[in-house]
Amino acid sequence: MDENVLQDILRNLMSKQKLAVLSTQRGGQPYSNLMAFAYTEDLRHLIVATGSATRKYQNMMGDSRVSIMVDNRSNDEQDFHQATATTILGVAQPVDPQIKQHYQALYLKRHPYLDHFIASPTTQLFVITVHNYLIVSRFQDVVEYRINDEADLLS
Amino acid sequence: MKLIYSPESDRLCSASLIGGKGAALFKLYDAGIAIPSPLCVSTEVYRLFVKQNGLGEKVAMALGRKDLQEIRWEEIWDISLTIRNLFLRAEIPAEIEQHLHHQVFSRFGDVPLVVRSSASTEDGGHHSYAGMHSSLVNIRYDNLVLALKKVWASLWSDRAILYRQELGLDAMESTMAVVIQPLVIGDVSGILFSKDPTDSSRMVIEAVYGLNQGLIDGAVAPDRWLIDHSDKTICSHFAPEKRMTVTPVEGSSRLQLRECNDWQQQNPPLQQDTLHELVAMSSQVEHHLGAAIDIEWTFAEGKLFLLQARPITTRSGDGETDKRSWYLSLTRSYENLKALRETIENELLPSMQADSERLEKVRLDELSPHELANEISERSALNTQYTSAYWQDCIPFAHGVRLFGEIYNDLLSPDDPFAFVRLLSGQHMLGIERNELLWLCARKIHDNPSWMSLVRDGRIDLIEDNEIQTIVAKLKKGFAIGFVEAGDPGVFPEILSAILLQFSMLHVHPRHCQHDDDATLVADFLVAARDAIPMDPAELLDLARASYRIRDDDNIYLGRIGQEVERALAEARKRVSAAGVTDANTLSAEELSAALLGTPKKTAHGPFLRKPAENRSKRSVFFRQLQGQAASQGIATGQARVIDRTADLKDFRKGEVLVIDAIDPTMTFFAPLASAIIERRGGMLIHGAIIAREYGIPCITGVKDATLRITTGDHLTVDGYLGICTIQSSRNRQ
Repeated sequence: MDENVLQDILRNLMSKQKLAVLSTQRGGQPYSNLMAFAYTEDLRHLIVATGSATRKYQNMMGDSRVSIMVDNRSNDEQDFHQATATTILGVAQPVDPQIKQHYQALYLKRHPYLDHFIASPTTQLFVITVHNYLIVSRFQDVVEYRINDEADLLS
Repeated sequence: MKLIYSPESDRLCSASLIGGKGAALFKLYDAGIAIPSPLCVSTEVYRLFVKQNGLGEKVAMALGRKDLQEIRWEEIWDISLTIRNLFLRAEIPAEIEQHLHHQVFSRFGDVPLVVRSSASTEDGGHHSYAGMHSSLVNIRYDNLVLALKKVWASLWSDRAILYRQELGLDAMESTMAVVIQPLVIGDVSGILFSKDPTDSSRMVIEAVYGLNQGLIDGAVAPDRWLIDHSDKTICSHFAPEKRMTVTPVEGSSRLQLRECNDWQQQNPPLQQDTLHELVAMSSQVEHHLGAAIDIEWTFAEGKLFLLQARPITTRSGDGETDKRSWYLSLTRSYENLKALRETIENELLPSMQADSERLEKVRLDELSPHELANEISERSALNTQYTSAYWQDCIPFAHGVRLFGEIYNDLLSPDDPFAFVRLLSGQHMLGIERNELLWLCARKIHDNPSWMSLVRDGRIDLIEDNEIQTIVAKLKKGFAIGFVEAGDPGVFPEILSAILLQFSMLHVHPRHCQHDDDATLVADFLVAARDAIPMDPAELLDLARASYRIRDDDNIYLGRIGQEVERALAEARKRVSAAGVTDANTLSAEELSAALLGTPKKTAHGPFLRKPAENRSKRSVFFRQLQGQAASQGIATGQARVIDRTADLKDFRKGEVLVIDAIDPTMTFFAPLASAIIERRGGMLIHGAIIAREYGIPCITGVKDATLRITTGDHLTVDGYLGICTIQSSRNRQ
């Protein structure tokens, strides 16, 4: 499959979804949350935000490896043959204050109603550097798109 | 909610409610044309049935594994069989059964019925669905629910799916109404085209004695008349060689096919007066439907009845063609299959055997250049001729397995729609016999270190042992070994040695997969089929087994002819190389012949089994899980061996997963060595699937671009239950 085709599939999927499931872990215990997210056009980075008092904040600060799932299910039986989902594996880092404005603008462009949340001094913006996307379609087809030339996280 | 419609109370029903056929019949019935009183089970009933049984998503998932355009016909047949089984096993809602009893039984009682498909998109004047869906004849009320399920399921017949795809119609939007009429047991029946699709100045009438079921499904050859459309005079009449008839068996739902009596053999089913009566009726129907029509009709006790009518499609009327006739030709009647078997077993295969034996005896090294060029030409022509016969007779004969599968599932509704394959497998097949010889030979060699050493050097021919050389001779002459190059006597020892080296690593006999309850399955089928099908059950099973066996064996017969072509080419290459031509191995048959005779040549390229792999070095997209058709159960892991060209087969190692575009029976000696088989070509009944089941190894077929998406060395897990291949780690990712 052509890389450009796959990128188009991913952009199309992510552009239509406001929320994603973020998975973190602490002490071997996985933990998942529904999160608003944004992404860069080159698909290399995702942006999420959370309060610094939350468990997910603590988890990401303790172990930066994260998994995010974005899907277009409609909670209907047709999902089994129609839905597409992507699991995104990457590393989350608190956004450097010097470049915060850029990522914050991307985030608020998708989620303008979260401006108060973002403006809070206790809200931390995280940028996730993506290693790979795993795209599941037609119930069982799985394709991996490695966006960064790094070690295989799944091997 | 109204579920069943009658022409008396619902004169102007739309096709979306009662289908195209139902709407036309209601209209003509209302106009006073003699039609057996119709009732119509609406499309709403189909929707209720599908919804209540959760069939919608099951159908969508069965069809959604790949883009429809990428699915081979054989895979579509498999999908269709699966869907049909889902329909047959589903329960009809009680509400519908009450409606049927209240309206159908009350109206018709227990008389024999005809149950006809009437799809919402059917017969609307743009596209003809003639023959695409099922109509069932001689159905008693007790069997009506089963008949309805069969007709509904025919919305998903292989040919209907293909036809809708060709027309660009959304499969998931399709729906089906059903017309129910009392069966008129006609003395003479047939069809009429008010305009011959090939010449609009003529009408066509075809007629048979008895019911027209035999004419519709092709089992009975009709008398045929061409009528001038303008003055209605008879242009010509063609009689069949022998007149046959289909009639109901009294007291049962069966139909029987038999020869017509002497009087009927001497007299055509229609005379001048009945022909004119038919022509007059067709004019009336044309008038009411406003288009040229094709009708089914019957004469019962001298009275003419219209059974069904549809406008002739604009496509055929305009002289354009679609592939409907080809789709219809994919299925063959039982009688046709019996005739094909006769031809294949008694003529084609013996002829191929005799020719390959004759060719084997020719001392090619003694021929002059001119004689060798002629020999190449003759052998190539023979190969082409047999390949053509293979397509014409052997490929259609494979439908014997499908016919059996459909009948088996109709009778027994098994959990697994492919359970019937167990009644066909485990037979003596040439591919299995060849593998037994390889196993035997390898065992003998394995115990002798000096013989093993010769085999490692590719020199099985140097082993001085009569028993081994007898086996080698049998393998060389009796079976084609899956390389074109194996026809070259100089290369054969090397190839056979490579195969035997792998077989010598098998420490346990690669047993056939036999199930303990196979005999019970056969007995259950024979009991269920007795008096329920229109042919002898044991004879049908025998035909299906022959179809299954020949499907594999015929390729080996054909491969032997191919090997003899290659033997002649190898001799030519040897001579041409000796004469100073450096690229003899790249020359085609014609070019080699030309070179033998001293005329110029052009360069050819060796055959690939698939497209050359794309440059994988810069890939960033990796396939982690591929899905296909679960064609043989089991789960296995192993390294992938992707076969790009036949020459790659020599590199295959015991325990690897064979990944191939399309396996041929001449290559199936890998099955005892492989941990699993993955094939791009799809189908439950393709060669890879057949041999995998024989050896009890997992097999997935229909994996899109399998040889491009998997790389030799990838570590695979093959799940033959779910049809999933997981690429756990990939060499090119390191």
